[in-house]
Amino acid sequence: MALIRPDTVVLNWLLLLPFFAAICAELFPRLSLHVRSEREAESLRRGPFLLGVLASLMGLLLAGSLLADMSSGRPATVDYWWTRDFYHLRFQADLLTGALAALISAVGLLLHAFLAGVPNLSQPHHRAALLLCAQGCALGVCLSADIVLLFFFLEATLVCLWLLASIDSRRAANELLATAYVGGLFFLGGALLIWRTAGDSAIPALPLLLLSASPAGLQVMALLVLLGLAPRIASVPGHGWLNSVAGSVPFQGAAACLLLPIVGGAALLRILPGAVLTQPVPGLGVIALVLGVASLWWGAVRAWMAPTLRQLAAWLTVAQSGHLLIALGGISTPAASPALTQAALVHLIAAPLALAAVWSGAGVVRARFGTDKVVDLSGVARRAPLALMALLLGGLSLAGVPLLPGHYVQRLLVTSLAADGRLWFSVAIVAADLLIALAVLDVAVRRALTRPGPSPAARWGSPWLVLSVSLASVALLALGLSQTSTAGWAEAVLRGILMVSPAGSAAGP
Amino acid sequence: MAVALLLGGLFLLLGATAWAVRPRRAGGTGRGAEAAAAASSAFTWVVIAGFAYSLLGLAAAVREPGSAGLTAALLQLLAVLLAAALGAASLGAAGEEDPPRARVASAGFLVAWLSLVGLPPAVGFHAKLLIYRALLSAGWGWAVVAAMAGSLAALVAAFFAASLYQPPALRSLRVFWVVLLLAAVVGLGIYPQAGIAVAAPVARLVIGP
Repeated sequence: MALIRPDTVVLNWLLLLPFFAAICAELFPRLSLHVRSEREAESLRRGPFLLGVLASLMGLLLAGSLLADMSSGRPATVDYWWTRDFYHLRFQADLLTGALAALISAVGLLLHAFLAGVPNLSQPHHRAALLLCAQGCALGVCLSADIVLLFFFLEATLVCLWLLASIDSRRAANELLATAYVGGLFFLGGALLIWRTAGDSAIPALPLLLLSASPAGLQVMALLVLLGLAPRIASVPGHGWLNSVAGSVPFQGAAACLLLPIVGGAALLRILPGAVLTQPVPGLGVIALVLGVASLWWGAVRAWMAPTLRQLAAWLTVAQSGHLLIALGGISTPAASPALTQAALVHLIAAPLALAAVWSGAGVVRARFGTDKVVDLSGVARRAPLALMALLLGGLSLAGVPLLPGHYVQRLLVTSLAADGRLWFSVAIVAADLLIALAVLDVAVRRALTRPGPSPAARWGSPWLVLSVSLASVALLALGLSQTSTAGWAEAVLRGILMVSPAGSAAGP
Repeated sequence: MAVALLLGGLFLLLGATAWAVRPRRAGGTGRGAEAAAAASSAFTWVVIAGFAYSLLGLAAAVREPGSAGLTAALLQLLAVLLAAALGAASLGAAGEEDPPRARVASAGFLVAWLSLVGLPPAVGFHAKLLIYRALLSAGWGWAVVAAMAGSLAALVAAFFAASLYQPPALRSLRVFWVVLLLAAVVGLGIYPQAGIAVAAPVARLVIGP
C-alpha cells in the first residue's frame, strides 16, 4: 500500500499553487528598481501576468491529471485539522470538482493572457497577485468538502475580487461587496441550519444525514442557499453590482464578472442537487423558475439594447444565470427528470467559457480601438477578426446555436421542461435565446462587419491579446465538438450524485 | 439571566452599530484631523458592537451549556481586542511621506475592519460563525438574524470610514506593531484552532466540571 497517494499530492499542489504565485507576483516591484530602459520596464510590467499564465497552465495540467485519475471512480480527499471540535480542512476532488478546478484554471489563464496584453496598465503586480488569490480561493470553493470551509473560501473570493475592482472604481467595488455580502449572510443562515440539522459539516455526508429532515426544514435551507448565492451568479434582482462594475470599471478590472458567477454556480450545484435536495422541494422550484425566467428575459432584452460591448457582456452574464436557475427550479419539483441536472452540470462548464470568449473579444476591441461603444464599431471586424469571432462564438453559444456547447444545454432544458408539462417555460427559453442571438449578430455582423462609415483608429495589438481571444475561441469550439465526451462526463457525475440520493437509488446507476 | 444577557447584547449591538453608521460631517477627506476623527469614531462604535457579540455568546452559553457559547464569546473577545489594537495602531499620527509605511497602515486598517465585519481571512470570521452557531443551538434563530443585521451595519460603517480616511505613513516602531498584529489577526483566521485552544480551556475552567 502506498504511503503517499499521488492524487492527494496533486490536490495539495493544485490548492497551494495560486497563492504561491501571488506572493511571487508581489515581488516584481523590487525587480523594477534595477531596470535600465523603457523596454525592460514594459517587460517587467507584463511579468506578473506571465507568472499568472504559467500558474494557471500548471493548474490546468494538475486538474487534468486528477480528472484522468478519476476513471477508477475513487475521489481524492485530504482532511486536515482546522478546529478540533467544529469543522475541518476537508477537500475532495471528484469528477465534478475536478472539472470545475480545470475550468477556473482555464478562465484564469485567459484573464492573465488578456491582462498581459493591455497597454499602460496601472499596478500590474497588485492585479496579478489579487487575481491569483481569487483563483486560489475559487479553487477552494470548488474543492471544499466541508460547508463551513466552502463558505470561508466563498467570502475570501469575494474579498479578493473586491480589492481587485477597487483598483479602478471604489464605488463599483463597494456595491459588489455589499450585494454579495448580504447574499452571503443568507447563505450562512442556510449553512448553519444545514449544519445543525445534519449534525456534521462534511458535504459528502449531507445527503444521508438530511434524509430525516422535515420537508419544511429542507425548503427553508434550500431557499436560503439559493437566495444567498443568487447575487453572486448575477441573477435578478441581485445583478446590480454587475452593471456597476461593467459601467465604471475598465475591462482590466472586470475579472469579477467572470470568476464570481462561476464560484456561485459551483457552490449552488454542490450544495443543492448534490446535498440538500434529497426530496423534491416544490416551493424552491417555483421561486427558482420565476427568478430564472426573469433573469433570462431581463438579461436578453437589456443585451439587445446595450450601448457598449461591456454592457452587452454583463447582460449576457445575467441571462445565463437564468438558465442555471431554471434548471435548478426544474430539479426541485416532483416530476424532475435527470436531464435537468445534466443540463445544469454542462451549463456550469459551457457558459463561463462562452462568457470568457465574449469578455475577451470585447476587451480586445476596447484595447485596440479605444472604444467599445456599439455605434463606433464600423469596420472593426475587418481589422480585428479574431476578437469579433470570439465575441460571436461566445454569444451564439450562449444563445444555444447548434455545433456550439450551449446548444446541448438548451436542448436538454427545453425538451425536459416540455416533457414535464412546462411547455411555456420551454417557449420562453427559446424566445429569449433567439433575442440573445439577434443582439450578438447585430453587434458582430451588422455593425462591426457590414455597416459603412469611418472606423476608429487602431492601435497595435499585443500578441497576448491575440492569444487570449484565440484560446477562448478554440476552447469553445473544442467543447462544442466534444459533446459526446461532455455528455458522458455529465452522466458519470449524475450517477455519482444519484448514488447517494434516495430518489435515484431505486432507479440505480 | 440568559434572556437578560441576550437582550442586553442585542441592544448594545444594534445601538452601537446605529451610532457607527449615523451621518457625520467631516471637513474634507484624506488625512485631515476631522476625517481621522470621524473614521475613528465609526471604528470605536463598531468595536463596542463587537464586544456585544461576546454578550450574545455568553447568553447562549447560559441558556444551553452544550452550545459552546462561552468558547465562542471568548474567541470573539480575542478577535475584537486584536482588531481594536490593530486599528488603533494603524490610525497613527502623520509621519513623513513614505509610501511603503502608508501601505502597511492601510493594510492594518483594512484587516482590522475585515475582522470586525466578520470576513476572511481575519479571525473575526470564525468568532462570529461560532457565535451564530451557539445562538442557533440555544434556539434563538431570530437573534441570529439581528446579529447578522449588526454585521451588515458594520460593513456600511467600514465603507463610510474608508471613504473618509486614508491612514498616513507610520513611524518605525508602530510599523513593527502593526505588522505583528496583522500577522496575529490573519494567522488566527487561517488557523483558528490556535485561538480556540486559548478560549476553550478558559471556558471549561469557568463552567467547571
